[in-house]
This record gives sequence, C-alpha cells and structure tokens, in this order.
Amino acid sequence: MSDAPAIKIALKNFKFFQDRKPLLNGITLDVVANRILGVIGPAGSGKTTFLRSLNRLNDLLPDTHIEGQLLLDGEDIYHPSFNVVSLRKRVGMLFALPVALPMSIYENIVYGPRLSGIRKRERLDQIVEQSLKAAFLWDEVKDRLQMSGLRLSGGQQQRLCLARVLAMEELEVILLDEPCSGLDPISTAKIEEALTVLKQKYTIILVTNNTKQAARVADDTAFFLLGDLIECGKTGKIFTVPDDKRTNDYVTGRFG
Amino acid sequence: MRISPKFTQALAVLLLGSATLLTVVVLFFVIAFVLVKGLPGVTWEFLTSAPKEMGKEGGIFPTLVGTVLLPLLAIGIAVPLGVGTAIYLTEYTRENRMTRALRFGTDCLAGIPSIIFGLFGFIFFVVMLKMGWCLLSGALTLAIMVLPTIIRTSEEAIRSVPNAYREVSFSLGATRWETVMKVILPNALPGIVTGMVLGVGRSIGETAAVIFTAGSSLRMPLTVFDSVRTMSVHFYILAREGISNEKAYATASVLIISVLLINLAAYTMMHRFISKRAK
Amino acid sequence: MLRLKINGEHVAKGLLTIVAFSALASLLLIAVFIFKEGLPFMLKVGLSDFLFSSEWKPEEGKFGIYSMIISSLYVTLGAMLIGAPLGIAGAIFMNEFLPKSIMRIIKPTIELLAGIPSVVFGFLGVMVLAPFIRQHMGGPGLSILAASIILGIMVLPTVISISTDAIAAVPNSYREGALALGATRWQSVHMVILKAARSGIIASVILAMGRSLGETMAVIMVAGNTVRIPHSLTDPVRTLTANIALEMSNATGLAREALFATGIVLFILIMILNAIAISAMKSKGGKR
Repeated sequence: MSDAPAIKIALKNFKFFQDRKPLLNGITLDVVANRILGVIGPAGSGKTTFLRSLNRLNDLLPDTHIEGQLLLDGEDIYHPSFNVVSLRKRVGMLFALPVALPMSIYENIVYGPRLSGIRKRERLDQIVEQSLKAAFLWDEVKDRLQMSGLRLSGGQQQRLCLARVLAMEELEVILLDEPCSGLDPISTAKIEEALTVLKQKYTIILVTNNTKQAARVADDTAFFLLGDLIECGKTGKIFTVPDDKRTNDYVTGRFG
Repeated sequence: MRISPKFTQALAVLLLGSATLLTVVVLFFVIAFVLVKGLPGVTWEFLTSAPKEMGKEGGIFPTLVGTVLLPLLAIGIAVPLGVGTAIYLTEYTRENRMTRALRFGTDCLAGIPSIIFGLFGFIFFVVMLKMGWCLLSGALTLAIMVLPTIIRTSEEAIRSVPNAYREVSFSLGATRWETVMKVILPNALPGIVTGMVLGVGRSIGETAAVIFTAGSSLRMPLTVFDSVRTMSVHFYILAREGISNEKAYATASVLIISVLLINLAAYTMMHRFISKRAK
Repeated sequence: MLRLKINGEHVAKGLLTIVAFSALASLLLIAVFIFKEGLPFMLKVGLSDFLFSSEWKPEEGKFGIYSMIISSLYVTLGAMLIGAPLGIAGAIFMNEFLPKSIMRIIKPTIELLAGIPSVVFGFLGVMVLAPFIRQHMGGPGLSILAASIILGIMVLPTVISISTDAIAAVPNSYREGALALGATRWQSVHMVILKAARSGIIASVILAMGRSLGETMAVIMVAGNTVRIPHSLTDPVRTLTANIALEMSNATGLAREALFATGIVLFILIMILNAIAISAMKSKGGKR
C-alpha cells in the first residue's frame, strides 16, 4: 500500500448543461479508489446528474453538453476518442428502482458478459455463481436460476441488479443511485453489508437521500446543493464538524 | 302529461336492444347463409384439385396456393421495411419535423381505398415496369398497402417497452443496436406479430388491389413472375360472371373461415400480449 | 475488437436510415404518382368540365364524373343512414345495458366479422337483396338502395367498435354521478355519456363514411353500374370507385389519366373526411 491514496476518478471544474441550463456548476472532486463515497443533498441538488455523468448515461438525454474534465484513471472520459461502451463496462450502475430485465435470473446476469464476447457455458456458469455470491443472493436463488427475474421480491431484484453489475469482468467502479429507497430494512442491510465487502475490490459511489445511510456506510461524503459541490471530506468530519454552515444545516436536519 | 323516465328508459332499451339484435342477427346471417350453402361443397377434393372449365367444375387448389403465397410475400416485403422504420423512428431519431411528416404520411395512406392501390399497382408495376400481372406486382402493391399499419403497430409495440430496460442495457455496456436486438425487439415481438397477422388477414380478403396487379390466372404459380389468382378474386369472378353459384359459395366459405381463423389468432395474441404487460 | 463494434453500430444506424427512407419513399411514390398522372389531365380537360359534367363517354373524349360523384355521395349517405344509427345504438346498448360477460363475447365477435371480405357481402347483395328489391320495389334491383344497405351492414363493425371504445372511455365517475342524482340509466346515457363520448362517436361515423366511399367490389356487384344521375332509390348507379375498376383494363391515354384524376378526387374527399374525424377526436375530451 503506497502512502498517497490512489485517485480513481477526478473531476476538474466539471460543468453539465442540458438545453443550455446548467445542472452542475464547476465540480472539482477527487474520488479515492477502494473507498465508498456517499453523495448527499436535497432533491434537485444534482446528485443524480453527477452520478450519471460518471458513466455518460446522460448522453442519452437530448441537448446536453459539458465543460471541464472528468478523468477516470487519468483519462478524460468525455474526450471524443474515448470508448463509451467500454466505459460503461468499467463503471457499472444500480438504479433506484430495481429493474430486472424481462429474462431469467441467469440471462440477466450473463447479459453483460455475453456482450463482451464470453460464450463458454462453464465460464458463464462460473460468473453467475460468483456474482450472485458477491451480492449475497446465491443461496436464495441457486435452485431457480431459470426463473424470470421479475418474479423476485424488490430486495432480491436489487441484489440481482448488483450481481448483474458485478458480473462484468472489467468492472472497477460501482455507482448506486438511491438503491435502497424502495426496500425494507433487512434488504437494505444486506446491500449495505455487500458494499462494505465490495469496496476492497471496487471504488463505490453511493447517492442517497438517507443521511443516516451515508453515515453508516460511506468512508467519505460529498454534499451537493443546487448543482454545486458544497463540501467533501471524511464522513466522520462531515457529520460532526463540517466546514460549511449549509452542510451542517443539512446533516442536522434543518432543511432537506 | 309527463312521460315517466322509467317509461322512456324501457322504450330506449327496447329500441337499442332491437337495434343490437338486428345487427348481430344480420351479421350472423351473412356468415351462416354462405356457410350453409357453401360448406357442403367444401370437400377434400375441392381443396386439392384444380379448377376445370373456368371454375365451373373441379376445385380451388391453385387459388389456395395463391392466397397463401401472395400475402406471405407481401408481408415478407412489408415487415422488414415497416419494423425497420419503426425502430428508426423510435430509437434512432428524436421527434422532429421529419418524423412528424412520416407519421402524418402513414396515417393518410392508411385511409386510401384499395382500388387506388390497384390503379397504382397496375399502371406502375404491371404496365410501366413491364412486370405484367404477377405475384410480384401484387405483393409489392399489397406491401405498400399494409406498410402504414405495420409501421404503426410496430411503433406502438416498441414504445411500450419500458424505458428502464433501455437504461439498464446501456449501463451494462450495450450499444444501441444491441439494446434493440436483445431487449427491445424480443419484448415488442407480440405486438409486432399481431400487426403482421392483421396485415395478412387484410391481404387475404383484398380483391380490388389484387385483381389488377396479380391477375387471375388459374395456373399454379411457379415463379414470382407468374400470374396468380387468389380465393377472393376467384370468388368474385365466379359470382360476377355467373359461372357457378355452388362453387362460389364453397369458395366463399373457405375464405370466410380462413379470415375468421386468422383474426381469431391475432385477437388471442393481442390479449396475451396485453395480459403479459399488466405486471 | 473495440473499433469493430463502433463501426458495427454505424452500419446498423446507416442500414436503418436507408430502410426508413425506403419506406417513406414508397409511400410517397404512390401519392406522387397518382397526382403526377392525374393533375395534368384535370388541367387539360378543365376542372369544371371534369367535375360537373355528367357525360362520361371516353370514346368521345367526354370525361364528366359528376353523376358518379353524386352517386358515390348518395350511396355513402344511405350507408350511413343505415349503419350509423344501428351501430351507435348497438354500441350504447352493449356498453351500458348489457352485462359485461355477454358484452365480452359479442364485441370480439362483431370485430371478427369485420374481416369478412367485401366481395362476400356483395355476392349476398346480388343473390338475396337485389331480387328482393326488384320484386317489391321495382327497378332492376341493383340500385342505390341495395348498395346502401350492403355498405351499411359492412360498416357496422367499424362504427360499433370505435363508438364502443369512445363510450367505454367515459370515466365511470360520470355514470355514478348521474345515477347518484337520481337519473335512470337511459337518462345518464343521453344526458351525460353521449355528450362525453360525442367526438369519438362522430369520428367513428366519419371513418365509416371514408370506408364506404372507398369500397369498390361490393358496390360493383350490387349498384348496377349505369352512368346516370339517380332519381330514385331503385335506380342503378355507378360510383367513383366502380368507375375506376370497370374502366381500368381498357383505358389508355387520356382515359387512363381520367382514372387517376378520379383517384385524386376520391383521395381528396377521403382526406377531408379523415381530417374532420381526427380533429373531432382531438377536440373534445382528448384522451391521449
């Protein structure tokens, strides 16, 4: 382990516009590798826009443009020559509503690997087992892999989505957009437990509406407000002695 | 003296009910009449032998072949064009003037009477392109006729696939084409197939556009450049030329049953599609 | 390997663009073609002569389609007088007065019947209806009346289907509101529901009109096909569509162009009807 922490993702004065309207105003932020970064802030603060800029899912929206730089391992992902498809295999995402594809559990998980060209049955079986185990879902579904993913409960579907993302061999970063918002406390706990284990292998960015979740799980926390990054630092500090008054107001519940 | 609302209602129910009854009875009468007069003539021999004496004797086998080949060829042309266009409109373009124009155009064309398609097909394919009366002329004309319907139903089916599926697919590193092929089309398939089946059903009953483009030869078609006679054309000729009422009724019976079966299939498929969606 | 995938995506988009434009092109082709063939004729012969003369004698170079326009309009009107009331009545009855279970059987059956080829209806018209008219009302039997009745029956499924959808789309709260105020079912229907479903019902009628105007085969079989302005219900007539079909095989040169011009007239008439239908559907209670 080197002394200086490795920076996985770096934003340098990154701005995001849709239809000429600024949604993110000059974000400068370093995301350290193998840690969980919690992203908190009230609705409309730009958290989701920020997250979706990291895997360029925002490209799907009409009339968008960016300024500044967003670097993954030192490379600007918005550079014209950067391969977006491979970006998304390295940076996976979990959405707020668990969206199982209308296929069997097995097919859901091998969807990504198949796109990468992996065909061998044994290899795919291996991937399925590994991913489901890492998502703490294997024991519950190992006998019914051919069942449609849509028939799982909400919490199970979300873990399925996690397994789906973990199945990508090239995965380096996991983005989560309020992944537990619709889930019961037990499912939430399972996912949080999985994240704490996963951070050893991956860099994790977790957008959450629930400040307590950030306090529980995140190593570092970033506070967004109205498109600005107000403050970012170790979770302990943000929640006890933040630098900015607005941060303090938010985490103590004065607004939000 | 005020007429009581209850009385008015009873009167209304009586009138409306009679109207409905009349409608149902008439429609059933149409089918029943034809079937009663025609089914006795529908024997295995009738279905498998060739017509003799211009249809006065014999069977309708070549027309059966024609009735199968022509719509199939037409659908074979219309579906790739129609589904491809639908995919292009929904997945590869934003809503803009061009897409609106295309949609307006297809809506307009959906209302054009088939005789005008027949006129067009005749002058353009049969005469100008010198293709003569043949399967291909007929199929191309029918294809243009059903194209608006196929585009419309395919577009609706594709649009009804939840956007979340697209997002998930992209976030897993799929290209747009891969997303279309692996997620969207498989999901939209029931709706697309329903549109196809409806198109086939419409083509089978079509006479005006067919008779002027595919011709009316009673010989078995061997290539796409052979003229062919479909059952509805055969029926029309038998009836109008007064060749044989008996054979006419029999042909009509086969026609009606085929169309009913196809529409039934489309209807059941649509229902299964709708119930699958309601999750 | 990665570069290959990017190119594959471009190929896919390119292919689809070609497909879409081909489809658009073929649809445009037919519209353009018809106008290209028909418009010069209208200019050559003169619009007023074409539309308002009732002398149709291609051999002598006379191309007046007035009598056929009138005939088409009469036949369509007749069809609507039969089909619309019956169809709307049926739609109301099925939706409002029939138990759901029976309705669920009858509605699909009527829609299935929509698939019966028009020639079958025409044939029955010749075999059953025309002789009846000839016997009891005089004339050759093949007449406006016969055509109107047959067409009216043919459009019944259309009217019923679309009107039923319009009526069913009226929110239940309307019905419950009316009934809660002490109205009978029938009162709730004619005072509230019909008004709410009006645009959909009108649209169904107009669409059915478009279909009647465009019907060819059945009309050829039962309308008599004589070129004249009709004076009574039992007169035989020739509609615009029948004219196109009957003259097509022999027509060359100017006569052929005349048929395209007739097509344009039909096209425009139906376009107008469709436009009215679409705007009627959008105006009141735009459900979409």
